[in-house]
Amino acid sequence: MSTTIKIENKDGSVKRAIMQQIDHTKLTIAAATVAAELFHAEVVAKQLTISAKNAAAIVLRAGSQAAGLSVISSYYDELASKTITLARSINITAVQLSMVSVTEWRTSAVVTQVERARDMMDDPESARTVAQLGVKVEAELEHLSDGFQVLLKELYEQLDEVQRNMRAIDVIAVTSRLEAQQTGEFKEGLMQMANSIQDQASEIKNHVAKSVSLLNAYT
Amino acid sequence: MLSRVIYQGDHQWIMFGRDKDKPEKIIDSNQFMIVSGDEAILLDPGGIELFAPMLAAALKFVPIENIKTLFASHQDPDIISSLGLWDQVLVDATIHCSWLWDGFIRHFGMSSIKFEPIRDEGGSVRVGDVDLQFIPAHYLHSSGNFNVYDPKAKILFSGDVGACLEAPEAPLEVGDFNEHIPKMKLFHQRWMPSNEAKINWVRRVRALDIDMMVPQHGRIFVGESVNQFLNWFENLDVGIAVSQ
Ligand SMILES: [Fe+2]
Ligand SMILES: [Fe+2]
Repeated sequence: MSTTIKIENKDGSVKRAIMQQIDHTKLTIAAATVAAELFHAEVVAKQLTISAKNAAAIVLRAGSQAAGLSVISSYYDELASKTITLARSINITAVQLSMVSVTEWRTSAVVTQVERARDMMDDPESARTVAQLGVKVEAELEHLSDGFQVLLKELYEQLDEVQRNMRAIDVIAVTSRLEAQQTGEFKEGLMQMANSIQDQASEIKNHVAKSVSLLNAYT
Repeated sequence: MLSRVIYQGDHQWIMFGRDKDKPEKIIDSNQFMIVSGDEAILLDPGGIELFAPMLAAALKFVPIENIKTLFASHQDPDIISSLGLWDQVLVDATIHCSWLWDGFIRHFGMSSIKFEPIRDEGGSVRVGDVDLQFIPAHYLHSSGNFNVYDPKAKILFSGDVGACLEAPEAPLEVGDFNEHIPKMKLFHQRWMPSNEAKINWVRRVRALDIDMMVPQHGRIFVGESVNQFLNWFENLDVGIAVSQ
């Protein structure tokens, strides 16, 4: 994030230099891209719930042969539904983040313009007034960047939760392939189900990983 | 922000709008994106407050580097006050707008985007494999004003013509045309200044083959409601502020 250095001028006004300023343009695009990535992840998560329901149907038909799988298939379903909800809320958070980023971007432009105005003033009294205005805008900028950090943290946590869900799906897909070995004629169908569930989970993982690396790059 | 594919052929029309999260006092607007191959054009990309949700919605469909072209039907803030922000995120982009507004919309901030003036008679632009036509709609309501016609998709983007204000949950399409009239009447009478310009526009637009007429605010006209609109608008007395 940006660090503000305060330099006292001779006329008493305060000059600030924003160091390591984050690139608001790139960050806005990154947040908007995260929103789009999670929109696609949500589509896959919807397919995942369908796969989970299909798996549950095969398990039901297999009856006692697939007894060990009935808990697993309902677990898939639960994780997939959770992921849909999460993806939706990440999408909202990411759009909010992108909006705050735009506001920060616009506000930091105001800071620059106010500084320009102050530098153009000969009359120290007016220069002081403008400098005070600058202080106010910078306080607003700091407030925005606090809000930004809160949203960013929330976004990382949500993304992390999706990844944990996907890892869990991965693990149970491996278990269900083992269990499927003992289901006789249902084995093929169940193996295929487990494979497609695993593919979908990894597709979601990719969307999330892309989102995280985008955020890492610009914050 | 809601996004909906309204045409899917060898290219795509996507409508964005009905943003329930927008600040309350900002009027709702429709933005459109036409995608063909790896190129996309944004029609009336919208106001500054809509920039972030609009960007996020557009990126669901295309990567940012594919957005190469912008179109502004006229100079209003709800149409193009986001220009200064798009200017910072798009690379090698061009905006098409009436020559009249060249020196004006630059006030929104424009340093990297190239301005391509549309002459009064109209013009065209190629986006991917689609040719789009700029149809003059001067004085409806702006003095330098264009619609966009896509002959392949048979869609006319009509800007403020056909506009009305709707709640976010309202249907996207005009259902019963007569029920729709009260929502549009005052807007067209007060915002549109010239009966002559209106009649001239109706005559030219009737000659186009149109399946869908999509305005910048409110519902879209599909099929017969396009003709119903043209007939209604033709007979409407506009420019009422001076006669009151
Ligand atoms: Fe307008
Ligand atoms: Fe408008």
